[in-house]
Amino acid sequence: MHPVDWSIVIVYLAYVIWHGLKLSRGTTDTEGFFLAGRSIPWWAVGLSVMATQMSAITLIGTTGQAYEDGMRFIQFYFGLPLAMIILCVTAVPLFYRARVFTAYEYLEQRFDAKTRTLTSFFFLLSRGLGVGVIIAAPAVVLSIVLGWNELVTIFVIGLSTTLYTMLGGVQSVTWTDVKQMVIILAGLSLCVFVIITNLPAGVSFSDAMNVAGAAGKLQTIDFSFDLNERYTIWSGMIAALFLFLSYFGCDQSQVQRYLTARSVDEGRISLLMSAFLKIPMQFLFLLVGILVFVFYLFSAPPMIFNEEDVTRAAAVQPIEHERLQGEFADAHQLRHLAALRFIDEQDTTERITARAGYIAANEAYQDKRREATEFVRQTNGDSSFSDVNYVFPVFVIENMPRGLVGLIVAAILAAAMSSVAAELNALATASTMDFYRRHINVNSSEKQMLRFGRLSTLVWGVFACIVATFATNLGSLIEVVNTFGSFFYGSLLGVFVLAFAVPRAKSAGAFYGLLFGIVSVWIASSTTDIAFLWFNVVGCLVTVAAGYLISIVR
Amino acid sequence: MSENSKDNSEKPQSGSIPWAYIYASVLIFTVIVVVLLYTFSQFYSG
Repeated sequence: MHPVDWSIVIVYLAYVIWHGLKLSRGTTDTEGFFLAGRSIPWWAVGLSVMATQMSAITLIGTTGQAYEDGMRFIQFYFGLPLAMIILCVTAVPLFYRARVFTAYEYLEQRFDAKTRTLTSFFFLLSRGLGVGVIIAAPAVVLSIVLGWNELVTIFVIGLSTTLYTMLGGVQSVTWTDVKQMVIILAGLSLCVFVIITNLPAGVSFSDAMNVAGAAGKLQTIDFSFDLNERYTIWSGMIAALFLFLSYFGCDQSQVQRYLTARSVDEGRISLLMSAFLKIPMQFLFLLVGILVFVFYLFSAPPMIFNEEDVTRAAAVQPIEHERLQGEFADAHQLRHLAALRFIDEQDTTERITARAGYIAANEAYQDKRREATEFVRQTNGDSSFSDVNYVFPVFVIENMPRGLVGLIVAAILAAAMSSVAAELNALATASTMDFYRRHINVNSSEKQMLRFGRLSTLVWGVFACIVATFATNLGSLIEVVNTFGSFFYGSLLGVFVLAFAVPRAKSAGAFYGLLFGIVSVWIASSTTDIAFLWFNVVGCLVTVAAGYLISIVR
Repeated sequence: MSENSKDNSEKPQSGSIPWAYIYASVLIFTVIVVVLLYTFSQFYSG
């Protein structure tokens, strides 16, 4: 990176830490540390909700996915607005008026201590590991693309976030989230502007969209009902609805955001902000990926975006690599010419022929890229290899102007840090309120709880960094963590459905229903090929059904 | 519990905001966005 870009990244890190520390001065009691004295305005809570949800891997993964697979991913968010409305009617007023610190504390009020402890324990387990993955994923990508030391990147992201979260609590987390969201949106908007203004002469934005559309990259809606297909309108509207209900309604990292709002109404508005903005924002991210695709129609792309892995494979099989590289370059050249012909052709009949030629050339190019990916997989013995997460960072580093590179790298760091901070804060809150105050030191003073809250933030921060160092080497660990999260999410939602909507539900029903739900998802995942989003539906329905039946029987 | 939070808890919570209309407008907005996305993809199908 150029010194100008380095300066932007360093100024960003210094500002975020300084700002976070500055806000720590007023934090003197537990309600201030964990809930900001319920004093945050709705718009800041709303931005914090969005920043928490968007991790760095969401940012770079979404753009990479649009490059590779088009805009289909946007369907994933179609269920979000309805989920937000349901939560505004149910969870927000119930949690807020119950005066709880954690979502799981509410379960003790409704059921018993054992249900609270079990749900909180599962949250700590899944999120404690998950936060390590949130740090590891961008650290791996940035270390390969920018040549940064992986371990140093992990500890810079992890410990700087831990520092301001530990000292400033939720106040620092929320207000830094606001700034980080501004950086992310500014960086991506500028990126879109630069790509559009730098399209080749004679290629308009409309032409760019036409070539992307002809290649199938702009397909936003898939009406087919296929449980094995990850992104369809049905999985987005039904399965993702359950996921979002669980994430925003039962996951402490999000519940804690809206508990800091000034009132129930402001908590509701903060969630509705996401309902309005999430799909358009996701469209912006995907549009970046589409524009990167168009950019590489007219200038030579790398055959594989993860240079480290392709270099390793090339060292083992140099002749095969050279052959693939040559064929890939030819395929790109043919696609380039076909795209130009398609854009230039005005005659309707000729245009149809040019379109067919471009689609065929694009298919041939994609085949070469798939062949190259397979080559890396087989040569390196890594069957899960994919370079999707490297597309956007590589594009930025190699093609964006000075200054914007620094801003985008800062945006990637901001996306990681905002999610990590919220998770650490939520982990510390659950540890303090659901375990320390509830089981270890029942008569603890404000001072003791505050001290424990800060200490647990530090411990979870260090733990996350350690997990991250392992996660970078063990690809399967990331899978295990994500799979474990999906086992738990739907079932947890089921417990809250029992609490909110089933008056006859009893504590035994909630407790054993949760266990039944988790087991059912495990069975579904081992015996079927259904897409992971549907696990949330399975877990929730089984938990509610089992919980209801057990409540009636006992 | 701090004084600050106590004050907040006594604020009027609901009643003045027409939530049903707001929820309906969120859903209508979502439907419009989905239709626009579909139209966008059809328009630029090449």
